[in-house]
Amino acid sequence: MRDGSDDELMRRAGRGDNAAFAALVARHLPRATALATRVSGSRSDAEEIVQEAFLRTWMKAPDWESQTAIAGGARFTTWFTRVLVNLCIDRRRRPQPAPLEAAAEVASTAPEGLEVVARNETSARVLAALAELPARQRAALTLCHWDGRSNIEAAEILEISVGALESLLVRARRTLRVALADLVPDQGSPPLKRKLS
Amino acid sequence: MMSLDRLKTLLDAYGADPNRWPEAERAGARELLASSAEARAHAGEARLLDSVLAQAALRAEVQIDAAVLASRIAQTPQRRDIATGGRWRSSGAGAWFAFGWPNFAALAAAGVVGFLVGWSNLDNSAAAANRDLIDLMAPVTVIEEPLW
Repeated sequence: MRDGSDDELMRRAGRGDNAAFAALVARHLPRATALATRVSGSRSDAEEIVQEAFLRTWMKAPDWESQTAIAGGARFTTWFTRVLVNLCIDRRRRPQPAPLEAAAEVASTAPEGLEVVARNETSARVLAALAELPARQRAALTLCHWDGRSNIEAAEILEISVGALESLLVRARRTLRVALADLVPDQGSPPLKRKLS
Repeated sequence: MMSLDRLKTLLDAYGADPNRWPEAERAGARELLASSAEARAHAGEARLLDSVLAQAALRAEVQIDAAVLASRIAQTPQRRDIATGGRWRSSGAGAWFAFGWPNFAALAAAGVVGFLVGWSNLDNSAAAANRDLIDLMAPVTVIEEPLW
């Protein structure tokens, strides 16, 4: 049962329609998982965050129609992504163990949860550098670069202006350029593949 | 035509892929790129970082079963927010009441409790006051809704 817009599924979930809620979860789980993994920097945190975000979705469903009417018709994906990103940022504010413990791993042996594998050494380096960025810079870059959000959408999710979003993105990319300088060749230098090999 | 400074900001923020640029500025940016070697050089630098970031694709295998997760969550009882689920959900004064109503209810409950606690202390018996306080406070539950 995958028919229906997100808003329609939310309205039905709000009336106790479990199948509608299951469809909503199935539709958004993969993307939410990838986003939460990048922004939280931890696969185990991402798993908990995604579950918490869907729990909040279920609890919000009965009031979705009335509250979106007051708020001027917020889109489900914008609201849901905002919940997800805020949970990630809040989680990152707590004391953390080593950043992005998954970055250098080959595979997880955890029986449950997410198995996140950096595809290669470059991938691990970039993910580790990403995990070192301040939370809001990381969230902005993840939304615009990997999650495919427009600048307007990303600004709405982060509840900032487009100008502030651009400022976060500029700082994030400049930091990454420095952190990954050995992987970013100067123009005219040998191709990236040779440099990485 | 777009200024070179603006193009550099676009490249610094969004990278060299025009699909990531703000839609309203794509045409102007392309026009400048077509006519300026300096602009193309900046785009080339941004493309190099893009090529590194592009290799940072995760392989995130979702081992959570969506159906199991949804089923487990759906066992949690839903609760309609009385502030917005009732007749106060319209805009204007109605919306103001919608957000204000729980606050008034909590304030009124706190006032009643405070009055009764003060009244019960008239006998100067601390033990009696504590008993009354516990009895009175037990049924008062204030639930805070998360803002979104």
